[in-house]
Amino acid sequence: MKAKNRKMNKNVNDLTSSLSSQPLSRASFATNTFIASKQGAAFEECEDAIAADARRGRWAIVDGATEAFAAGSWARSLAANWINREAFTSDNPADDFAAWLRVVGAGWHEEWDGREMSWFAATKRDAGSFAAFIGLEIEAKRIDETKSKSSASLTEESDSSLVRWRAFALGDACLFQMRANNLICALPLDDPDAFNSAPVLVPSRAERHTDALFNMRIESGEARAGDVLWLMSDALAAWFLRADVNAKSDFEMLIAREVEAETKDFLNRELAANRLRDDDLAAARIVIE
Amino acid sequence: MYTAQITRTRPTCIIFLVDQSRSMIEAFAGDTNVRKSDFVAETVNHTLHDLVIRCTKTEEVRDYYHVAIIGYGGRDVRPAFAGALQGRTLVPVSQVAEYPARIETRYKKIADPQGNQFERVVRFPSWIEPIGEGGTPMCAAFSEARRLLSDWIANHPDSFPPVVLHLTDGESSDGNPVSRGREIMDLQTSDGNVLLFNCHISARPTPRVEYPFDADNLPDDFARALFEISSVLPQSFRNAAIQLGVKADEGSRGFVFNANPSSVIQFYEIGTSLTSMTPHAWMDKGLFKDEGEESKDE
Repeated sequence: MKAKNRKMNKNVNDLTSSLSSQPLSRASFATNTFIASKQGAAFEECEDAIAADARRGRWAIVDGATEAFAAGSWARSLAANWINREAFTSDNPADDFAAWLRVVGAGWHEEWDGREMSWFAATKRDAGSFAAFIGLEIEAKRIDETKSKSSASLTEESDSSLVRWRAFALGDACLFQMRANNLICALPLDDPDAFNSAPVLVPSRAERHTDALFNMRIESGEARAGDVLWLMSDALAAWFLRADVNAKSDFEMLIAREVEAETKDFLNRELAANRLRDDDLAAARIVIE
Repeated sequence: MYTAQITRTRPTCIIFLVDQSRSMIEAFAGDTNVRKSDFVAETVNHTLHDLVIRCTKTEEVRDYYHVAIIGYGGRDVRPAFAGALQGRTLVPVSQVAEYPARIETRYKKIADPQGNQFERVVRFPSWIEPIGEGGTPMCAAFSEARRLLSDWIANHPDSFPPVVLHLTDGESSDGNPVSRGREIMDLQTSDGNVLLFNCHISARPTPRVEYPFDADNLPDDFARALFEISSVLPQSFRNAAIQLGVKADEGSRGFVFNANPSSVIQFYEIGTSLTSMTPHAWMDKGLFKDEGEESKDE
């Protein structure tokens, strides 16, 4: 394996040496988002939240647990705070995330803990809120191909368009990476049948953080120009994993065109055919340019 | 069957039938400290607490359930709600939430990941008091449950079938309850028959039988009679049982004979599981009798 890599690196060095006078360009990201509440529910009752900042390279989809206290509010707080936060710079992203969550949770509870409320609302509030979370960051600075971990990048079509992404996932909101209609990465779930269990979620209460975050997945990967990264909350994610290539393609075209009414019609047909579960729906489509 | 969605426009109904006869003031078998009536009242109160919290959406309570508590003892069958709900039969859960008879407050010590310690209030509302007097008019209790259910179903013909959770510590003193029990089980909505589950508790140390699928291991005629009038657990209830670590094969009935305190708790948890709602990961199971906190009544 080592010998093979050295040989490959030598070839790449030959290639890049001729390009070394050109600095690697910064990537940009086109983003489209879609969000809808479950059938019969007003939009204000939607407990999914999306936040996107392509300039900073940050996106999040958060799905508040229906049974949890002020779930929509917690979801929106997590999503907004994800894109506005300082960069995680330590060697241990899990510790960075935990420290960030502590601040976000404390801030959110400041808003709710002082309020007078009935015994039952207070009991629910005291348990805190919970949400499924998928947070993504992509570095706009392209990676030197020689530093790429992926030997698959060294093909005839090899180009210097790689960017590095990192995802933080807890619960059943998902990241999917598509390359030319092929699903090359799915996390934290890649099996449409895996969506029925009760996943561990991101809690707002500090005393629950350690146990919950033990289950967090933090994964990195690389993407090239033309790749599409999707973030989706669970009902759409399960649908996407089952959908055939045509349905995926139809869905993608609707999201890219940002035609809300047509997208809802499409999804209502999927609902009627029992291919989609009735739930809040959230999707973010990120194209690496 | 047993798949109807439980919603505010299509709620379901839960009836707690509680034996309040004299023998209920005796202790559980093998435990001289815990009176059956005290433990059952506490468990029913905790179950109602959980139902209210399950229906609480931020600051409102959604009426997914209509609840009745029927106590029977002496010559009497009566609604068992105390406080402002006294005398009420079927009550929407929002009113159960609004009108507990009492709320006891305790303090629980919590530590955050940094090791900072603080206290948080834990609230123990109650709706029924422990009672134990007179005989066991079980047949009359079943008749009353049947009457309530009949009327309720007439107004809610397509709901998830009502559930009756019956707890008793001994034999009926007003006749064989089998035919009255069957009348309850014959009632139905379009989603299935009414579910009647029975939990028997005892002051005698005899073997426990839990969720059996046949009557083979039952010790006497009374146990067999209760088995006859215990509904088979639908799949979602079986799943809840299995999640609690309880053995519940296909065809298992909602029936426990000679239950001990923890199987009483499980009986009510399984009996109110009802839907495939995700388990409440945050429900602190240790809410019963936490040690070392002060207590004051509101």
